[in-house]
Amino acid sequence: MNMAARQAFLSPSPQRRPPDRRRAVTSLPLPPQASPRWLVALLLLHRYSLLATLGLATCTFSVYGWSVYSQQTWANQYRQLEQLRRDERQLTSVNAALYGQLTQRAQEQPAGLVLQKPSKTLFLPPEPQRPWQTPKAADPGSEPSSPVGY
Amino acid sequence: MPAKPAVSRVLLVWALLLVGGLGLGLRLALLQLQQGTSLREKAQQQQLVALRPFIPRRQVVDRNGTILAVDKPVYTLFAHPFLFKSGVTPEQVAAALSPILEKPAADLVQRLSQKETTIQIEYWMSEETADRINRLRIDGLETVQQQRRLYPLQDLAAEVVGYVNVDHEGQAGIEYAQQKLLERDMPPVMLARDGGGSLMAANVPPGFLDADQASVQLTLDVRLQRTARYVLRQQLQNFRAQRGAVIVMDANDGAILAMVSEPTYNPNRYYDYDVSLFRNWTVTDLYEPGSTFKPINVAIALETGAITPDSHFYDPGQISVSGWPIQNFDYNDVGAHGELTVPQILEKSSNVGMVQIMAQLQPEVYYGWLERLGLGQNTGVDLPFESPSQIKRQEQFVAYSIESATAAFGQGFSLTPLQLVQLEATLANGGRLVVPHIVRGLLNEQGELFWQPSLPPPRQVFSTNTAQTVIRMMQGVVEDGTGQAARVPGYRIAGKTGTAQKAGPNGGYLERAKITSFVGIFPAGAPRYIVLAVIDEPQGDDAFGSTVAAPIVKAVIENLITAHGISPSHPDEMPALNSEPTPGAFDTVPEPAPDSSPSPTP
Repeated sequence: MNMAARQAFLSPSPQRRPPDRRRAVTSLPLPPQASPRWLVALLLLHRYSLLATLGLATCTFSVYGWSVYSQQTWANQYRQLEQLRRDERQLTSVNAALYGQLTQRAQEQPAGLVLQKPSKTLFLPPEPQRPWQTPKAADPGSEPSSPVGY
Repeated sequence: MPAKPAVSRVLLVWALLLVGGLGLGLRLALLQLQQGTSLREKAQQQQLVALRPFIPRRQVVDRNGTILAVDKPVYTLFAHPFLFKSGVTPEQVAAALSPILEKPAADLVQRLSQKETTIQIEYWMSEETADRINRLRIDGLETVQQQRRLYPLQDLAAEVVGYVNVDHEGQAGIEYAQQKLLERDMPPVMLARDGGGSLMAANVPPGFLDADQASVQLTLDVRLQRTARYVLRQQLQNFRAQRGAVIVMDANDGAILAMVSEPTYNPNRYYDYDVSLFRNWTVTDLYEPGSTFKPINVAIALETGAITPDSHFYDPGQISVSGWPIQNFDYNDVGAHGELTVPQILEKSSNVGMVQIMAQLQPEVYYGWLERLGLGQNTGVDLPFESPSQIKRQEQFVAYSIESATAAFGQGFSLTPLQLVQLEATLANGGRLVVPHIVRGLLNEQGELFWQPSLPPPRQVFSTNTAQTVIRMMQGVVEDGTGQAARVPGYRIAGKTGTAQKAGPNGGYLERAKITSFVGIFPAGAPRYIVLAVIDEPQGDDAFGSTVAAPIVKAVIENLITAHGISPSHPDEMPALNSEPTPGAFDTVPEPAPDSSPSPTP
């Protein structure tokens, strides 16, 4: 709307004013025109692409979050693995050193420990293998005739 | 014109956006095209880390899984004072390090003021210590990972296992000979790090996390090795001997169960010892075996048909071969032995009898047999620096009858103690020449053997019958002959003593220097183990194979019996369990400071 039109609107001449406003305003029926197909298609596209965008954004964020989370988990697990390996190494070497020291001490200060001698060893000859016996089928006659529980 | 201002405003905004966009695009192009390469490098420097996972040298374990050698990561701490942040003084750094390293701060300050860069502050730090230092986050301190080899059993198996030097290279023993089996290498892997410094899982090469936990298993039995070393040490002390060795081998497959040579060294502190100790003389040094070789000669004579087990020979105690006198060790005390059977010749260890037995063979045939047994070659054991045995040239051996005469009682040629064990094993296993070996194979994490070295197939040199006949004769040596000191009640042992003169460096023999030895084959009924003890230059008039070496073999066999649960072949001979056992030669703990006059054990 340009300035001239605005001025004309603001100062209407009283003479030309219709006596009844309500009668002057008539609602014009809109012509029953169908929206053009392309517009409908665009509107639909707009609606669905919005939904798709929202969905994709959610997916993206969750995938991103999952990748960060799994990376963190992996890093933690890797650290734990390293720590466990280190513990294992230490356990192995300390265990071995301890064994070495103990045996050496036992030899230097036997404190009652002596070299094992055959004369002080009990040899148990292995029992010959017994022949296989097929277990006898249970005698049906020996079954208690009445329940023994009470 | 009312429309003009609006259009210009729109144009202005549009132009601003356009210029802004173009500017950003230009900057992007500049960053990408002009500085792209250098920026990428910079980013990679920050994000990528060359990760070298700790790949230890393989563990070495004995046949029962006892660890003999294991790798441990250690750290060296370097300081680069020129990288210290401004305001950080060496005093502050020293104060922070002092409680961790447990060193006085003043020393550290002095050390830190020496140079501007690469000052080695500490070495062989544990992983915890290195972590604590890294957590201080002081610029200019650097911890460098290295590996250190630990030998938890100290000197117990040093002659077999060997040691590694500062650069982690094997220098002796199987550490040297089995480098390929022990070493593993992995090129450093480039991995990306995230902002927090954690590793990124992407780009991790496959197999990066799988650790190769295989260990090298030896045929050695640590318990047997310990007993052997203990008794050998005591006997060396008792007889003030120069050096000694004990070898135990399984005759069936050539697996070495114990290999001890004294004196030895502690591989954890190899730098404190003399270089000559790093040589395992049971495979590097040759000696003349003396009478311990007589059973082999008897087997040769039997196999060729030159004699039968019932042959008789007259032993005058002393004979002369091509003008050279040859006499029995006891000629001055006993004189002539008279008529002797072959087993009696072995029992009495008669030199003259042996000369007469071997005289039944043509020297060419005898020489051919010695060569066939591998004399002049080495055994092919998987230990380093093995020396081939030495034997005279064939022309000389055939031309001079004294050569075959001295060879008859084990002199005039030389071999390693290990080769003698290999030859004696042919008698124990029915005539097969097996290759001695110390590496049993590779064990996986579950302790299962998944790789074994391929050994040449054993070579049949004697018939089973000959071998068994000689074993029976050797049994008499322990029951009634010179080897009675090795008797174990309830068991039968075949054996042979040896007391040989030592060859001098300039030819001929040294006057009072001798090597005493004893070889035992056990159990005589079903021979399986060969035990050899060799003592070099024992002092004293009563130093013979029977007095010095046989008690060692006895103690080792007793340990074999109890460790492997071998039940007695003659249980009726066993003393009652509740009876007080007669103390053996090594049952008392040696005094800590034995002086010049130790009481020799019989």
